[in-house]
Parts: sequence; structure tokens; C-alpha cells
Amino acid sequence: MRVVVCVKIVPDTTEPKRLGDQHALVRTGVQGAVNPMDDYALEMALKWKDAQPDLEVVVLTMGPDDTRNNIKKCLAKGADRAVLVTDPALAGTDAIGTARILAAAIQKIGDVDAVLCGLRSSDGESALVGPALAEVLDLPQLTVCKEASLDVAGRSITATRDIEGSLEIARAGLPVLLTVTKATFEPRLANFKGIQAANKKEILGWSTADLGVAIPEKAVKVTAAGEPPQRPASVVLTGSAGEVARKLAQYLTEQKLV
Amino acid sequence: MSTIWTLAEIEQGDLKGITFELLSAARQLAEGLGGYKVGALVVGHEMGGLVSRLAEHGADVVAVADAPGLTQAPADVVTRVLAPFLSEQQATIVLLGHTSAGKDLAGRLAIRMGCGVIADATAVAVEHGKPVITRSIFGGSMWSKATPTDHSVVVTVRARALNATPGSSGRTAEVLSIPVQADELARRVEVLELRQEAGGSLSLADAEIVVSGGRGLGGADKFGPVEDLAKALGGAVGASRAVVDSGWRPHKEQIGQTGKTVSPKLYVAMGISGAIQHLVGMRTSGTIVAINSDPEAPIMKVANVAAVGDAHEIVPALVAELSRQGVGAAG
Ligand SMILES: Cc1cc2nc3c(=O)[nH]c(=O)nc-3n(C[C@H](O)[C@H](O)[C@H](O)COP(=O)(O)OP(=O)(O)OC[C@H]3O[C@@H](n4cnc5c(N)ncnc54)[C@H](O)[C@@H]3O)c2cc1C
Ligand SMILES: Nc1ncnc2c1ncn2[C@@H]1O[C@H](COP(=O)(O)O)[C@@H](O)[C@H]1O
Repeated sequence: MRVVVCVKIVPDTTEPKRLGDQHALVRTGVQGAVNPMDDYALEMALKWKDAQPDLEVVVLTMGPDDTRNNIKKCLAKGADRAVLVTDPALAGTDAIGTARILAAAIQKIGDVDAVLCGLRSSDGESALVGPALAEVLDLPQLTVCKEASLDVAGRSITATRDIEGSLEIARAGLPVLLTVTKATFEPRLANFKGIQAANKKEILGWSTADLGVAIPEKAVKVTAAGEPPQRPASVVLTGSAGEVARKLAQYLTEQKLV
Repeated sequence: MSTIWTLAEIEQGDLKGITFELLSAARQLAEGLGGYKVGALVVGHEMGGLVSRLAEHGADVVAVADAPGLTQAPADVVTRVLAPFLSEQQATIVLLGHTSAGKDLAGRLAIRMGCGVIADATAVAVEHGKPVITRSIFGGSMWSKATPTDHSVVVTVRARALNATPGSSGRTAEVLSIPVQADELARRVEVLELRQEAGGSLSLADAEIVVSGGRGLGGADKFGPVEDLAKALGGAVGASRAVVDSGWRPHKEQIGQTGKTVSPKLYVAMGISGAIQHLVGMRTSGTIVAINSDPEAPIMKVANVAAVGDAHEIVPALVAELSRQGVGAAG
């Protein structure tokens, strides 16, 4: 049985972001990290693998070549192998283009029983790549999962979905695509043995030519970008608690906020 | 004449607020571009009663896909039903909410229609005869504007970023029926159980006012100020990750990078320092009020109003003061 986890390497949130050519985020030379929600997706797959050692967990990333160090961290935690789709022409690819490229890679990996994505990436923030990928692959989807169990014999996944004010328990037969949100469990850390083992694991590098796909056309053009107008400087309220409360109540009513 | 389509979001047989916001965005684009109608898509069973309200709120055309199997249909089913219709209509712009349902659908629809997608729009406009969609990026620290090349585009619009069109009674709409083939209805996902969260609390995504608490409050049993103020203001409760990780509050209340992104009219943060991972989840809120004992806490720089002091003392006095003015008096 084979599970693919789509992992995006994103700029560390604490680093200032820069926009370059065509208003696209500059990714090279920027300290990267595994997208936090993808870390939960990976952990979900690794927990399945703990119970089912012959499950193969493949990490799939589309990004620049300098993401290899971060991909290695996923291998150190226990993923079996990784595929890095890298091509300078892919810089600035949008959500739809990303879904098409990831789908081509998943088809090339072959015999995939489940695809796990993060709910959203911290830099793209679209939360659309997962469902778009599911459509290209013609898979059903279970989105916003905070927990999921894999039934190998019954070939199905049952997930707890966290949807706006309610929890839904839903089941789908394999193959299926999941998007994972911050889960009820924490991602594991790599141990020394895992780090040693990762050195021997493979990170395949595929170009778009290897996948036999064209560079996706951009259906959307970013025409401008900038910083939002500065918020007016804060109104600072000090004094005794009673005074602060009174001034705050006055502000809220004057601004018609309550 | 071409149509700008919006998807009506339905909950328990009624239209959700985002629907009206989408209609107003569509109207703005239709007027700016000239020669466009505003359309609303309704997917469900026996939802015909919604047509008049959609018309009153600006829809010129309402297209209805009706089948028993379309009640609470999963995104892949809705995609199979809507994509051929929208393609046949030569739809160039389709607006969905950036909501659970909208996000589930947008990517699939865009793939099947072969068009582009712009996620989480905070404003729409027409510039030089082209639709221009603004979105806030990197957690609200920057914005970008995007325009479709010669392709069609699916746009998801952030809830409450745009004003809803007020209704005008007596408006009517042309009604179209979206054909539904039986094989399109096949379901691959089975819902086993739906658990409404206890207390029927207001969902964060829908709330106009969010009151959040952080580690500074001091414990799971010390969230009184947050709950009391949320109740007085009719708002939803939010939390920082620190308190969720400590088990003081459930994860569904977490705001930030690994929680929810909200953009309410009013966001109140108490006992929250304002780490970047928290700010990305709330920075685009209309007005931000911070209550913190440390005047130098980062949240105080982001806030419109920075109230310095102990939340346990300020908030009860604030609730009492508001109640004197008739806010939340009835509880
Ligand atoms: C990958 C990653 C993802 C993350 N995702 C998120 C996320 O989604 N959401 C999130 O919130 N965080 C997230 N974090 C954590 C974030 O970095 C902070 O650690 C967290 O937000 C801090 O929570 P806090 O503000 O409640 O606590 P603290 O930082 O401890 O702040 C407590 C504040 O309360 C004030 N205070 C103390 N006593 C009082 C009082 N009596 N009255 C008023 N104020 C008082 C203090 O002055 C202080 O400013 C993430 C971190 C990482 C590394
Ligand atoms: N370049 C990428 N490589 C691998 N996975 C990706 C990439 N971009 C997005 N994803 C996956 O899609 C999810 C949603 O991303 P987004 O739509 O950008 O919010 C992420 O959490 C990843 O699992």
C-alpha cells in the first residue's frame, strides 16, 4: 500500500517576505521550513505506517532544488522516499498549475492508495491545491481532517473533519485525497537513527520533461502588489482598570462597533 | 449577454450571508464591465423558494440544479453537475465564498472548466475594462492584485470582506434549470455522523465580532473575561495556540497560522502577545482592540486601540459599562 504526502517547503514565517519578478515570492536563499499543516499530514501517514510497517510513505514536493535539506527532515522522521519536482520554469506556478504538476508526479509514482495534503500552505494560503489535485486525479476528497484512520483490509479511510462549528465523521473508499489541518496529535521529531537512515534514502529529482508535461500556462496574472496602508497609530488607553474600561466602552460605541 | 455567476450557499434551507456578499461583488463587476448579468447557482433539492430572495438581492438569473441526491452533495458531485452547465454558458467569472464549501469546490471546478483561480479575494473592481481581484497575502502583511489572462476564472471571496447588497422587493429573475444526470450523483464519500459543537456557539467564520484570549489569562478556568465579553457583544470566542496547546481551549477556536483566519469587524485580543503566527490569522480584521498588561507587547502595535492593564480587572468593568449603555444588557 502506498501513500503520497504532498509537502510544500515554505519560507519560515518569521522571515520578512520579498516579492521578485512578476510579483512572485522570492524563494531562493530564503530560510525554508516544512509547511506546518503538511507536517501534520506527514504525521498522519507515519502513524498509519507505525501500525502497518509495509505501508510505503512517499513525500512529494514541487519547489527549488535547495529544498532538499527540508525534504530530508521528512525522510528522517520515517518517510520511505521522496520525489522533488524541480524546474526553474515552474517558479511562480499558481494553485491550478501546481495541482496539475503534482498530479502528473503522482501518476508517475503509480499505484497510490491515498494522497495527503495540508489544508493550506502558509505562503500560498489558497487551500485549493488539494481539491484541485483530487479533481485532476478524479479522486473523492475528505478535507479539513484532524484525525483519520486507515482500514487496510476494508480499503477505506474514516476521517474526522473540522468544518465551521461542527465535526463530521466521514468515510471514503481508496483511493482518496485528504487535506489535513492541525491535528489532535503533534508531529514527531526525528531521532538520531532516523537522521542516519535518511542519508541512505532516495530523493528523486524530476523535471517537467521527466513527467512529460508542459509548464502550466498562467490563467491569472498578478498585476500589482504592495504593503497595506499603515494602520493609524494605536490609541493607547492607560489609567485605572475602571478608567480604561470606560474609555474603551466609549471608543466602541462611538465607532459603532457594538 | 454573458453572466457573472455566484454560488448560493445554503444552510438548513436558508441562504447564508456570504451569498449576498457574492451577489454584491458580482453586481460591481457586472456594472464595471458593462453588458453582464448577475447569476446565482442553486444546488440542492426543492430549493425553489430561494429564487425570489436571490432576485431581490440582485440576481438577474437563477440557475437551479434540483435532485434529491443533491442535498448536502460532496464537492465532486457538485463539480460534475455545475461544470458542464457553466462551460455551456461560457461563464468567464464564477464567484464562490472562501468558506468550507467554497474552498472544497473552487479548485475542482476550476480544473474541470479548465480555468484559473484566485483565492480569498478581499475586494473586486474593474480597471481598464478588466476585472481586478485584490487579495491579502502573507497573512495580511501585503496585498496583491490579479487579473485573469484570456481565461475564465473561479474566485473565492473572503466572508465579510465585502458589503452585502440590500434587498429590493419586487425584483424578479429569469429561472434556468441545470440538467442533472443520474450518473453524476454517484457518491464516493459517506457521512457517518455530524456533531454540532456543544452549546451551538457562533462559528468563528461567521462572526462579526471575535473575542480571543491567550496565555496571559492564566488558566483554563480563567477565561471568564473572554466568554463574558463575547456574550455581551454577541461575538465568537477565539484563542491563541498557547492556550490550545495547554488544553485550555479546543483547537476549533485557534486563530493563526495553524488555526483559522478570521476577518471580523471587531477583533478583541486579551492576554495575547501577538506572535507573527497569531497575527497572520487576524491582521485583516476591521478594528483590533488589544487588552494587555504589557504596553510593549507586539499586539499593541497592531491594534487600533491598546488598552493597558489586567484583563481580569478591565473586562468586568467594560462589560458593566457596556451593559449600562444597553449593550448586551439582556444577556
Ligand atoms: C509553526 C508555528 C505555528 C504556530 N501557529 C500559531 C497559531 O496558529 N496561532 C497562534 O496563536 N500561535 C501560533 N504559534 C505560536 C506563537 O508563536 C506564540 O507562541 C503564541 O501565539 C503565543 O500565545 P499567547 O499570545 O497566548 O501567549 P504569550 O506569548 O505567552 O503571551 C501572553 C501575553 O499576555 C499578557 N498578559 C499576561 N497577564 C495578563 C493579564 N492579566 N491581562 C492582560 N494581559 C496579560 C502578556 O503581557 C503577554 O503579552 C505558532 C508557532 C509556530 C512555531
Ligand atoms: N509546491 C508544492 N509542493 C507540494 N505540495 C504542495 C505544493 N503547493 C501546495 N501543496 C500542497 O497543497 C496544500 C495546500 O496548499 P495551498 O493551496 O497553497 O494553500 C499544501 O498544504 C500542500 O500539501
